[in-house]
Amino acid sequence: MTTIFKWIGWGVVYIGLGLLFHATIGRQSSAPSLSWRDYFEIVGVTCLGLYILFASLQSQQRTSDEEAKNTFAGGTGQGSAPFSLFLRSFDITGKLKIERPASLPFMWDQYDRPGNDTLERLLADAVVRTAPLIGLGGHGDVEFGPGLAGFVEDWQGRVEKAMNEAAYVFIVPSANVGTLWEIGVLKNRGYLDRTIFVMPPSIPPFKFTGDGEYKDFWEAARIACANEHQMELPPYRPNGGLFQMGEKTATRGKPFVGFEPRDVAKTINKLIKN
Amino acid sequence: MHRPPKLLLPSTPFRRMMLIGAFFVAATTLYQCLSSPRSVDPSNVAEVVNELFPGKKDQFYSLGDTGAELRHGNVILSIAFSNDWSIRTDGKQKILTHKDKSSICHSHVIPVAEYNQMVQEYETLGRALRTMMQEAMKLAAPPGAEVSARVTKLFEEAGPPLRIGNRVIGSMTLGERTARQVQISVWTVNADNAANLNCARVNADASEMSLLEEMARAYRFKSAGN
Repeated sequence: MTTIFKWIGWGVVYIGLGLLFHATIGRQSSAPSLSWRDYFEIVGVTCLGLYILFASLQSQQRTSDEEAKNTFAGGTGQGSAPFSLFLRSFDITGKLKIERPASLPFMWDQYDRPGNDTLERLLADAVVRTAPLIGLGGHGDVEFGPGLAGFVEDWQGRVEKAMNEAAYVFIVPSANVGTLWEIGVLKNRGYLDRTIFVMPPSIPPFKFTGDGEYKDFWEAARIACANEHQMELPPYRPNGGLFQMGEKTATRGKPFVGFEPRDVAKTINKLIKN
Repeated sequence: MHRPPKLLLPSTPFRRMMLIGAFFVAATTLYQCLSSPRSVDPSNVAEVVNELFPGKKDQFYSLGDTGAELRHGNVILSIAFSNDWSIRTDGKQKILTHKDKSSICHSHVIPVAEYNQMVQEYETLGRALRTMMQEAMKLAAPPGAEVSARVTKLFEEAGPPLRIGNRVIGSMTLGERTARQVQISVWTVNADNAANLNCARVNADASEMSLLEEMARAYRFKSAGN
């Protein structure tokens, strides 16, 4: 149902933008002039579409969060829907933003995925058709993205179980104790073949809004991984990338080639192909 | 251990936009197909004629195999006339000629923007018709002839579509001799197109003018097209 409302929202936005285009730069010189009321109505149609779209995305997010809670509560097993697990340090939640360049008011791109765009949302949208992304923790500044189950007791047991059942595991390495423990489990339990390490980019449109620069954050993760698990993460590259790790070093990697979910999904498919 | 499945690729914003656009185009086309008559059978034409011209059904009939229609591309207009008329196409115009050659009607369709431009140029439709009649008569007038034109509104329906019928009488006087040309002009305007039927007759008598006026009243959009 939320999908239908999402398409209705897009449809109404489309009508509003079409009217806006014909009322402004697409207007024929001989056409009768529009009153303020006409413009008000046109903007109103667009806003109504955005409201429907936003409401449907919020509803979809609530559903994803509920599913994530069920999964972490032990609702998975043989025959249940596949999912992807998202692991990261909570202090970077919502801080890896994607800032799209501003464009003309009737350009479609900026209305297609309303709300804050972040790395988490990009990954979640990339895998949503195959294995929706879930994780622990709160949303922070992120409105839409992975289904998040909140903060739970016995998180290690639940994460370990989810690691075993997940189709994909996405992890953003960090020097955080919890993340290092997760990397250790992935390595020791032999889950690395379906684990994708994420090196977040820091060049536009990506922007790290946490304290300091992201390369320092990454460097700390490299040192911690080497000390704790004798795993050598690749050096930080500003354009970031996705890679897979062997027991000690990265086995293969691909840089981010775009900031659309489809681009990321293609990169993941190429990464796991061989 | 198991290998992860290959990901199904999500759609792109551009594809979503194209999909929505295609949906609206398909819905509009379907609506137009359903709302316009697929075919006109002779009994329907007879009913239309009878409705438009009560008691005169025998005097009117439809031309060609399209029934009582004038087709300008996708735009179809209803029309009714007697069997004294023949019809031909000249460029984008449909030309209806009376058998005595003294009456001739032109039907043409232009984008509504062109119609608006014409009306804006002359401020009113009446002024536009009067000016055009005067200019046309000046071109044909011998040196020293006086030319004048008068416009009388026959009907106006606010619509939509808007329909305005006018009688335009042009006079050309040279000494004691006067020639008169009468035109019945009807414009019907919807959101996309403006259609015009312009019937002219030299030295028309009252009954002939009445017939032209009736034709003008029957001229209306049957299918708006695009």
